[in-house]
Order: sequence, then C-alpha cells, then structure tokens
Amino acid sequence: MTQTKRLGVLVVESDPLLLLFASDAAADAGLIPYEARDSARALQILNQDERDDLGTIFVDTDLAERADGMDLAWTVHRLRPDIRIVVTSAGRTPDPKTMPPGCIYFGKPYNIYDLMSLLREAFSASAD
Amino acid sequence: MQDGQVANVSSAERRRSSVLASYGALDAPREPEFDDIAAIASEVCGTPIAVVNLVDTTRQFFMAEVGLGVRETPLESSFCAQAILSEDMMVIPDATKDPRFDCNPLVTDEPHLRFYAGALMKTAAGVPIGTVCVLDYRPRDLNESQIRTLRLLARQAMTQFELRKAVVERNRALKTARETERRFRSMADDAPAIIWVTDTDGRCVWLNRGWYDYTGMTKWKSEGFGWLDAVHPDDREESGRIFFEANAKRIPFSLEYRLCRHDGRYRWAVDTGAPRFHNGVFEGYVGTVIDIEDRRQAEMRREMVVRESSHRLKNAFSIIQSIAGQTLRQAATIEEARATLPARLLALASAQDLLSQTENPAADVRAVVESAIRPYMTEEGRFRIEGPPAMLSGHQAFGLVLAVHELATNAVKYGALSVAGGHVAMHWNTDPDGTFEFTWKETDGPPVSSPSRRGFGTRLVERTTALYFDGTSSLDFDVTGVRFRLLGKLQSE
Repeated sequence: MTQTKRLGVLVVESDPLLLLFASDAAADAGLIPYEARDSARALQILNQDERDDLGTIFVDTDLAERADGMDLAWTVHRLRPDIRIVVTSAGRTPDPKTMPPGCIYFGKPYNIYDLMSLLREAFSASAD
Repeated sequence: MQDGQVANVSSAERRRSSVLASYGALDAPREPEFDDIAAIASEVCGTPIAVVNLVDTTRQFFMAEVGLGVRETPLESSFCAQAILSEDMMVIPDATKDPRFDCNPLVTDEPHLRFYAGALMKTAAGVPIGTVCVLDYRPRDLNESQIRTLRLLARQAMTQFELRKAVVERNRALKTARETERRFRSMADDAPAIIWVTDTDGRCVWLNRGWYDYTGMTKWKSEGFGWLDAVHPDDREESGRIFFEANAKRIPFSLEYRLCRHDGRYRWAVDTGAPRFHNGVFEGYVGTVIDIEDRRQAEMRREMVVRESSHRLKNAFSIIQSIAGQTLRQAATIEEARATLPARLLALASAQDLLSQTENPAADVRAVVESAIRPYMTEEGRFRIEGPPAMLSGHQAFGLVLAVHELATNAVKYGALSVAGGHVAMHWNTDPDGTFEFTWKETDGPPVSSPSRRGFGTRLVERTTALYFDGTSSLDFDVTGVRFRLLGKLQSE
C-alpha cells in the first residue's frame, strides 16, 4: 500500500440527505466515499478487510440524537492514528480539549464546496 | 358636700380608680392572707370590727373584714373615704364629737359607730387605694404600739396586693407569650416551605412540619446533623462543605442538592440560609428548603427544545445548501435549474411542515403522498392511490415526500404524466410486524429508456429513501413505465 492510494473517505452522518450530500461531495472531490449512519456501521467498515485505503473520516458528533460521534472520533484516533479526522456538528463548537489531537472541526450549516476542498486538503495532508 | 363628692369625680380620683382596678382585687373572693390581717388588727386594737378596705369612686369593697358581715358599702357613709383625703393615719376617738361624722347615719342610727382608726394603703408611687381600719361602738383611743401595728398591717396588706398584681401581670404576659409562640409556630409549620434553625455549631435544633411531611423522617433522626442523611450521597459532601464554610464566616448561603422525599425519590431542592444575630451575638442560622424539581425539569426541557431547534435549523440549512449546490451543478441549463430548484425547495418545505406540525410528528401515508403530488394533480384520474391507514414518523414522512416529489417531477418531464392518458398508481401495505411496502408504477406513458446519467433527483430516490425506512429500494426504468419499490420498517416514534 502506498500513501497516494488512500482515496477513501468514511462519511458518518445519521441524516440520510446530509449523508448523501457529504458522500457526493467526497465523490465530486475525486475521493471514494463510504457511508455509515451510526458508529457501529462505521467501525464495521473501518475493520472490514483491513480497509487501508481510508485516509479521512468525516463524522457528525450527533448521531441519531445520541452524542456518540465524538466517541467514535476518539476510537478512530486510537485504532487508526493515521486517519485524518474531520468532525461536524449542528450544535455548539466543541471544546478543543474534547476533540482528538489533530482533529478538524467543520460546523454546520456548511457549504458543499467548502466541504469538498476541505476533504481534498485532508487527502493531500494524509498523502504527505 | 357628700353629694358633691359623688357627682364631681376629679381626675385625680379617676386616676386612683384605674390604679386600684389594675390590682384586680375589686369583687375578688376572700383570701386568708387578708383575713389574717383583719383578724390581727381587731386583736391588737381590741376592737369588734376590723376591715381591709379598698376605696373606689362610688363604693368601698372589703377585701377582708371582722365583725361586719358585708363585703361592700356605698361611699356616702364611709369613714375611709375621709381617710383617703387625710395623710396616712386617721383616728376618730368619738364620731359624735367630730363635725365630719356627727351627721353620718352609721353614727346617728344603727349600728351607732363611735370609734374609727384607719391606716392608709398606698402604692409605691404614693397613690392611696384603701385602708386597714378598726371600728368600735364606743368611744376609745389607740396607744402608739397599736397605731404602729395598724400602719404595719396596712403596709403588709399593700405588699400582698402588689404580689397579687405581679402574679396577675406575669400570668397575663405568659399567656400572651404562649399565644405569640403558638401563632409563630403554626405559621412556621403551615408555611409552604421547609424551615430549619441551627445553633452556633451548625447543629440543627428545630425543623418545621414541612420537613417531616416532606422527608417522612423522625425528629430524633433529623436534628443535629441527621438531616444530612436525606441529602443525596453524591451531594452530601459538597453541601456540608458550603454550609460549614458559611457558618464559619457567618454569611448567608444558597445551595442546591437532591433531597430524598418520603417516597424514596430524590428531587432537586434549593436550600437558603441566613445567620441569626441577637444584640450582635451570632446565634446560628435560619433557612428554608424549597423543592425546585418541577421548575428544574421545565428548564431542562426548555433548554433541550432550544438546542434541538438550533440543531434542526442548522441541519435544514445544510440540506438547503446541498440541494441548491447539487441542483445548480447538475442542471444542463440555467433554465432547468431555475425550474427545478424552487420546486425541490418547496417539496422540502412542505415535508418540513409535516415534521414541525406537532411535538411528536406523525402523519398518515395517504396525507403524506397527497401533499407531495398536489402540484401535479392537474386533472382527475391521473393518480390511483391505494393503501390502508398507516402512520409514518416525522422523518419517514419527510423521506417519502422527497421521493414522491422527485418521481412526480420526473413523470411530468419524461414519464406517464408527460402525455395525455398516462397514469400513476401508488400502493402500499403494512404488516403487523411493522413491515412497510410502497410501490410507484407508471402506465400508458411513452416508452421509457434508462437515463444515460443518473441525476441528483434519481439518486435521491434510489439511495436516500431506503435509509429513512431502514430498508431497500429499487428504481426500474422499465420500458412500459417507471417502477419504484420501497421495502422497509415503520418507525414507532
């Protein structure tokens, strides 16, 4: 595996429409989206076949009205420190101390083009 | 002169009368202390009659008497009324020879009194209230020792009256104090709050009925520091710390903790205390405890609703931005975008209406479907809608509106609704286990060909709808007409 192959973006969002839009944004940015609506599914994808093409995870902290998205971000940070983590939320900006190190916060409502360039940047950062 | 005395009661007389009344002795039953004084006076002076006499403005009352057999007489014939006017001792050896009494009926007629000697009873302030006197039916005199004894007896009688008055006043004060105490205690007990009192060391020394009713604890378990047992274990240490800190500094405090109610439930309460001082000396605290559980719950609900609304609003903005972005990006021409975007946003808004109608949004499938196709129901008979009543959760209604809207838009542009005579049939079914099946079938339209490129609307129908129903969906561009099938689970909200 080489770094440049890691085009995968894991999009974790409980709202079906937002999930579709975010994953479209990833696809339009030239990346390969994987979709999950909850933490369990996200972890399944992460562990599946040693999914080593994943370079970025984009996760909503409020998954299905449960605030376990941040827990997922920490789990990913522990399991796969090589994956860039982008956190989004419709709530208040989280305290940086509660976010895993190196994590980027991208608050809602967001512009789809901004999301695309953010994912692209995250990709080039992980390819470095 | 006697008549004048009765008619013209001077102000000094009125004052004397009220002083007399303050002893509460007029018309009082006989008392051995006064009987003894009268007996001693009669014995010492050797007279058949002796009286402890109170002189009011119109009558005299005999607190004690020997040899008379009556307890009061009018003032007109009184010797003592004269004595009250004299200094403090009056002796009339023979009344028939005294111009003040030689016309007195008690002298001229029965019982033919001749001798009178009276010593004044005076209050500490010098107000005369009566006499201790002796009388005889024959003229006579008293020696110095007898006069001195009579004086001493008058003083002794006065002392008895003072004692009596002191007891009466004390009893009255005690009764008032008891009544005040009772009133304050009942106020404290009936107050709609828990009230407590502590001593200088912070030990609880009193709790009102509110406490016992609320906690169901006993007095001996509550007083001292026992009340802390009713505070939630997690709040106990912090509550104790705040209280003892305030107690050491003698400053007011307010703290919140969970308090165990008699039914075993912990409820949030606010405890407010203030130091008590008497003449500048710290005596402890007095405080109230008020149950704020209901208020706290309401506050939490309000906060949640505000947070929830903010979430929804930001999510809605994200969706609108995304829809606008995708629509504009995928439209072949600006005209197409101009037509598609408002329709999509409108469908979104009407779906949002379904979500925000009630606090617990749910909608019937038929109502949901009809709201989505309303803009396209231009003529009768184009749509056939069939299915049993079934309630959709707010989110599922939202998903279905978006899907049906996109399908209808597509049908108007390319499918069955683009030509006269084309039809759309919508069917749905539910199972008792919550399975939900929904189909959209177009007939009598132009031949259908699969689009070369899946547009945004198509992908929305294909991919998103199933997510709302935790199921699967398929969209077939069959040559006889577009078919959509959704299989999922109804959500019970």
